Amino acid sequence: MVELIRCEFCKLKRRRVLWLLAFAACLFPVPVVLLSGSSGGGVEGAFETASLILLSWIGVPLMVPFLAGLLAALLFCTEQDNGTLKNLYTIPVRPAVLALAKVAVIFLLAVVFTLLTFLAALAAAVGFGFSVAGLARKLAAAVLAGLFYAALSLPAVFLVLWLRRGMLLSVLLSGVYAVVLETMVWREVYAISNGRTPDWADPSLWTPPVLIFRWYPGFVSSVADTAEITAQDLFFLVPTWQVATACAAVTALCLPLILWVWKRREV
Amino acid sequence: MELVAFVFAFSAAAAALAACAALHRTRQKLAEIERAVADIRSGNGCRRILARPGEPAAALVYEINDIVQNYEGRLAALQTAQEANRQLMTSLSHDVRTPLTTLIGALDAAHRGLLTGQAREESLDAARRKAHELKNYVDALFDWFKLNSGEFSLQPRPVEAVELTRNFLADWVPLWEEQGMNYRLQIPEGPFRAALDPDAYRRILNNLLQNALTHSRAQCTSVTLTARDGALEVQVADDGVGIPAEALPHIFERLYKGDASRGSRGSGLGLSIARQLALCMGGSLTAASTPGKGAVFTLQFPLLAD
Amino acid sequence: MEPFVIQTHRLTKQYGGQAGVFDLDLHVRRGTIYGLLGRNGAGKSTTMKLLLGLTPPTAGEVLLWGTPLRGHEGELLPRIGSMIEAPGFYPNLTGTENLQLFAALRGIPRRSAVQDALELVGLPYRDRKRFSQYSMGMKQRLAIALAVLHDPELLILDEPVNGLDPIGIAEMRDFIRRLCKEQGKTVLLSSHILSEVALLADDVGIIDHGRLLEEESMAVLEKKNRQYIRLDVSDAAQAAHLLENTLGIRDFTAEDDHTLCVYDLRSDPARLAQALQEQGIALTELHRCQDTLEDYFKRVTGGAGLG
Repeated sequence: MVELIRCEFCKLKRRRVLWLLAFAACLFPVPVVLLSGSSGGGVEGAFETASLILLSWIGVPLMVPFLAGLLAALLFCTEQDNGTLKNLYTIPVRPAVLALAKVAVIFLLAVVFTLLTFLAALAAAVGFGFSVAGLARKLAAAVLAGLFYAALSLPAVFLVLWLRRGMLLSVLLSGVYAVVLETMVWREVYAISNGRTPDWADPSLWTPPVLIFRWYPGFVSSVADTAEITAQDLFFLVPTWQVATACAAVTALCLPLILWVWKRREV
Repeated sequence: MELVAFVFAFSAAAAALAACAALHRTRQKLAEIERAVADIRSGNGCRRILARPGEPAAALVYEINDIVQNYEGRLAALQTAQEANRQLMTSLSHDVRTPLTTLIGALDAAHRGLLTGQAREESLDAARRKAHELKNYVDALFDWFKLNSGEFSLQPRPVEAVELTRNFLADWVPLWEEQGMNYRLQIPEGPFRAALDPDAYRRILNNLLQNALTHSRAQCTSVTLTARDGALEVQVADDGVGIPAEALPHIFERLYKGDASRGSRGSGLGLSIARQLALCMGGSLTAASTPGKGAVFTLQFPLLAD
Repeated sequence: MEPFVIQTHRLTKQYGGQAGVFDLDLHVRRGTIYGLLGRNGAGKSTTMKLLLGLTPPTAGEVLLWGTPLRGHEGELLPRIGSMIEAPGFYPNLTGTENLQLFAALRGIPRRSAVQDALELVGLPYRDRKRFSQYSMGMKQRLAIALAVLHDPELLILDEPVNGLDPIGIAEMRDFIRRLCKEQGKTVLLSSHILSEVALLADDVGIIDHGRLLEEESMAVLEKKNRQYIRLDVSDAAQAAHLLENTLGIRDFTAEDDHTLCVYDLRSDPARLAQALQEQGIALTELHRCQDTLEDYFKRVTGGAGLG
């Protein structure tokens, strides 16, 4: 399996799209950090705000699904287009194992890109002279956010595989999916910024993207010892296992679908 | 702090899992090697064991494959040699039996007094000739075996090749005239010195010229001597029937007789012996031919620097 | 050791009622070249895909070296090298990188296997040309390199000379022959070009409309292909009458109004010619002929030759 994953990475050699995306992932945090510093955060809170924005609000939720859709096109669709499946299956490599290796690559690259974003933000913050704290937690949060959003992107991967429409449309599809996830988060952000009290029965509070948005601050600041917990605080105190379970559920739902669509392919 | 603990526990679990997986993979690989080796033992020499370049067992697997391939190659060579030897034995026995049969027949007839006078004389003469032929054949065979096992004693010494060649060819001129063969000799002015055993050299030339005379059905034989690039080159060419392309690589093999002319003179060993002699003197003998237009035999020896 | 490298028992594959293969009983002997002969669409590629486990059979089974393929792919497929349909490689990688990728997944028999394979087919090792920039001939050669990379005992080649120029075809033929004779490999190749199969194959299997019509060794086929005397005459009917009534020859066919084929080999051509002349039937040509593989194929499949 490890060898398969390594080979999947080899298949991505010389794909300039990925490098462009990586470059964008490194560039995007810089203005975000700057803006966080100038508007409200100050030197103290700039990095905090920037990390929040990047990891749970705008950066990762947009980037990872897009990346996942792109990788789905690059890894899955090209196998069939190039006629390499017959060569792989006669090694022999089982179709399901091959698909799992590709999904693993998606997860790994999602984490890599998330880390890139985070490290770029860190470098920018240090560069601008902002104070950085709680790095360990934030790093862990970055890794987890990458994993969670990779899981949430699997439906997009499934759609790309199922529709099989070529690189451009696949990328478009994943872009649309990313925007859909993003919208879910924005609605809540908008609601909170208007001071609305959370209605626990509202299902939109429990959709995974929102869950991740709600989980992040709690995870990063390890709030456990405040005397009084307001409703607002509760909003932000989502235990990690809840988020993990939600994402695992999405994975458990989408993986079999992906495997089913993949196995149906005629060699 | 529980984060650190969690990360630590996670890493430990991952490491343990990886170690187990590696152990399992190695065990599987060993089982695979065992099965493949059993297959090879049962006679399947084409079986190869595969290993990824970075695998722990890779070096071992590559060595095993190399050994098996090596032995398979040797086995194949042995089998071809065995087959060739079998054929050699068969043709040898045939080649000896044929003249012997004629010989015995003639002598038996003479002994029983069946023939008288002229017939008897002719018969005895035929018997005598056959006996000589047989002796020549056995001598050639013996020389060939000695050459091939390195026991033949050649005594190369520095000689002047031009003069030597001229002398040998002088013996051939009357023969050519008698047989009506045209000849063309291009011998430069010497001196060209090479390390040759004169007897062996004469033998090679005789063999080549004899072939041109009896087997090639040529009108003209030409002998050219040149010195080029520190090598002495003797070319014996004829304009006869030539040698077909498929036969060309095999003509120096023992007992190869081309158009099956199992005649009185050819023993099939001549070219093989000639080549062997040339090799033993540090030279080479090669052949080229255009079917229908003739053949060229090129004998090469390194020149001695003066 | 089992005599058959490939053996199939009533192998069937149905594509929803459409053409597939039915009840195939293939036998490929060790160390020989087996030519699977058939028209385009006869089921050759399907058969090969079934043999490699690329598609599951509807019925029947495939036995490789006496072991069923299903359930033992892991130990059987590494001993097989294949070239099916168009060459399948990654366009963004170089030829060497492509081979190294497959080498890493399957394993190689010696450290220099990739270099040796490329050298064997005449492609450069470690050069920078990506597969997308390869010419058709180079792509085909890389496919062969992949097939022999792991030194397999069995080679399954689907139309190996497809798309090659005449020199390439001759080289390929030579290559396949050397693999079989010098290295003792078994080769199963499919083709719709009769002459290629006739030149290479030790055994021939004729497949038509998904059924294996006949399976025979080349030696026996050549014997089977009957020798006959072909007569080109001015009037075949009259000549036929003459053959039957006057000469007592019954074993002949009238191909058309001017051609007769006499299968009775005891008949003396000189006598035939004389008899025809005496009757005033003009004889323009008299040949001793032998059926080619093409004629045999036509006879067996009962149709027009190959496309």
